[in-house]
Amino acid sequence: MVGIKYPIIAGGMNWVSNAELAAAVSNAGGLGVVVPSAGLPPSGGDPVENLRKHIRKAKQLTDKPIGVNIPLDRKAAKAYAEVAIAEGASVAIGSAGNPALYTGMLKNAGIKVLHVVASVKHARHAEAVGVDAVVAEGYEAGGHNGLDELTTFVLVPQVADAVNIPVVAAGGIADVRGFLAALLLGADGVQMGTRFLATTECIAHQKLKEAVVNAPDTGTVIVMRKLGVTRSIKTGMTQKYLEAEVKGASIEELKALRYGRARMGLLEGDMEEGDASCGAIAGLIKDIVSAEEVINRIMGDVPRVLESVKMKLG
Amino acid sequence: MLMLHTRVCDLLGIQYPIIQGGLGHISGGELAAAVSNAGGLGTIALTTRSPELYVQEKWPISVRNEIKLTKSLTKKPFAVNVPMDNYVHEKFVEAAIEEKVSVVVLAAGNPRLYAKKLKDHGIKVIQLVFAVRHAQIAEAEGVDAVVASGVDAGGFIHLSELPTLALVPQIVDAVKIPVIAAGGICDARGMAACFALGAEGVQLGTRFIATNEALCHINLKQHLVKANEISTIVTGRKSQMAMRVIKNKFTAELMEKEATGFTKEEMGVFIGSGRGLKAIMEGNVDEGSVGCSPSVGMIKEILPAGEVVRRLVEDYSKIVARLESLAKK
Repeated sequence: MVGIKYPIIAGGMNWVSNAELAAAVSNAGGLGVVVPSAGLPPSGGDPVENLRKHIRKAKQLTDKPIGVNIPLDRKAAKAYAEVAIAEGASVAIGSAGNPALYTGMLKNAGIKVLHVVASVKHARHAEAVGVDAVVAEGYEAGGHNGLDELTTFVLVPQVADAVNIPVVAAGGIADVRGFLAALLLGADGVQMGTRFLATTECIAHQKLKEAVVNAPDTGTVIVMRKLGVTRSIKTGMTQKYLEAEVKGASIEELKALRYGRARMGLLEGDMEEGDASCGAIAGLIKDIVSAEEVINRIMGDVPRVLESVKMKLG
Repeated sequence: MLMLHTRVCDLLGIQYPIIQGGLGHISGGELAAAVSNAGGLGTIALTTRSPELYVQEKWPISVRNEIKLTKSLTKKPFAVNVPMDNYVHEKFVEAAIEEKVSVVVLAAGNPRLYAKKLKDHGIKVIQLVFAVRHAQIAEAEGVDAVVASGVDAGGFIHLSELPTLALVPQIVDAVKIPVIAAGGICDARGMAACFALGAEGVQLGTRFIATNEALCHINLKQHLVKANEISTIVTGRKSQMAMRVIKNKFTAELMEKEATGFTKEEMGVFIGSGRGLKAIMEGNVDEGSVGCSPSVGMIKEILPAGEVVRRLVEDYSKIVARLESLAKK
């Protein structure tokens, strides 16, 4: 549907979904995605121009489709959509907001629009306002998640039952087993974030990539239940945050502990004071490889796992 | 004849690798036998058919009654659920041994307590686990298979809160014994997904509540049929007694109390006793507390338990055929 060889999308990850990663994913047959905050300096900088820069760079590195993540809750969301159109992105993936806002504008410009949902209700709404496909993301995923905390495993089939547009499963997928499980649950494709975080092309800090590789099954935690729901790799900061929450800290105290830590975790690799979004599937990730290798491994393993699933029929 | 075969079938002596998870006060002999007769493995949980038996010291009487009832209804293997967090679990194990049941599912405790003893009596032992480390301990203690239960399940939620999709493949990688996936499986799609993740069996709980043979009140079964994906809620996180239950009037009050900083003790008093029974036996779903998976939105009708098993097997080949056609593209 979006003109790619394999139904694998690299999920937009705040701060770290850069042009090189996106181009590598697209060159390998998936869909690479860039985000407005990719690699921004501590001083801030202009995310709109930054997004433009990353789309241009990615398009220099590949002639395949490139996607753009548009966080719809940001003031600059419209500007992001305009940049996506002006720079010739092929796909826009909206998240954290109302898909009615820019779907029409993007589609008129020939861009395919996907929208991230965490509930059946939101999937129905996205379909009603004309998006081309929904990304059904469970709370296995790193970063911000839906307040209902539905898992990918229960969300995907219920969304697939509710809408007629294609469903992309996201959250908790890192290898061929998760990929095929998602398709068996009724998805038409998958989106992976954390697996692409631990790749050579991703600009996430080496220390964070190593922390992902070393993470056990219980290596991530949900923080911010009081301020939303986000999943992060366990760091000194998440520990402090959760202790404060148990002690009954005020919202202001919690915000002070949490806000402004993402860049430290993701780009500076500060595993003590920083915070880094990370999916629950981190425990399954055992090495830092190229994005191409991630995709080749999955597609290469498909026949073997498919055969084992068929074998059970005797 | 429909086929669906894994190591779990050989291990437990069953036709299909489909297990009905133990459901307190719901999975009595009728349900367990119906599942086993359909080729799966039924599991007896503690059920209380009369109020005077609802005191812990009398629980073993109920368990023994259910075993006898199940044996009168099926010649096939079935399991007894043994939660090791009550005071009388030893008596459950005694009953299972004396009545020569085929399988015991151990939960909420260290398998070391009973694994060897049960195996010495020729009983297969399955341990319920929630993290990789638990599975490795269970294997080392000699259990025959583990049920890897994700946070997607109804009822008790382990602190690790690992979802089925992430938990199952990691446990499959960590142990050699068969892994049975649980948590969020409601139809053949979920079952097939678990097989792709490397599981060799599946356990369904919530789906079997909405069956003819489940002991619970018809109101509860009908409630499940009407429920959607956001009809459940996790209560008790703050008191570290996390449970995924049906969202209702009771949970709304409970969440409010929890937010205002109720102590664990105050919480205990508020919840009181018999909340489960209220919904399950009396059919007062609004005031009761019932474990329920968020996969409940996929339940569209009350069915005979055997039909649930049959559809899982029958639909499996369709689900796999869809995947094959996707793979060809």
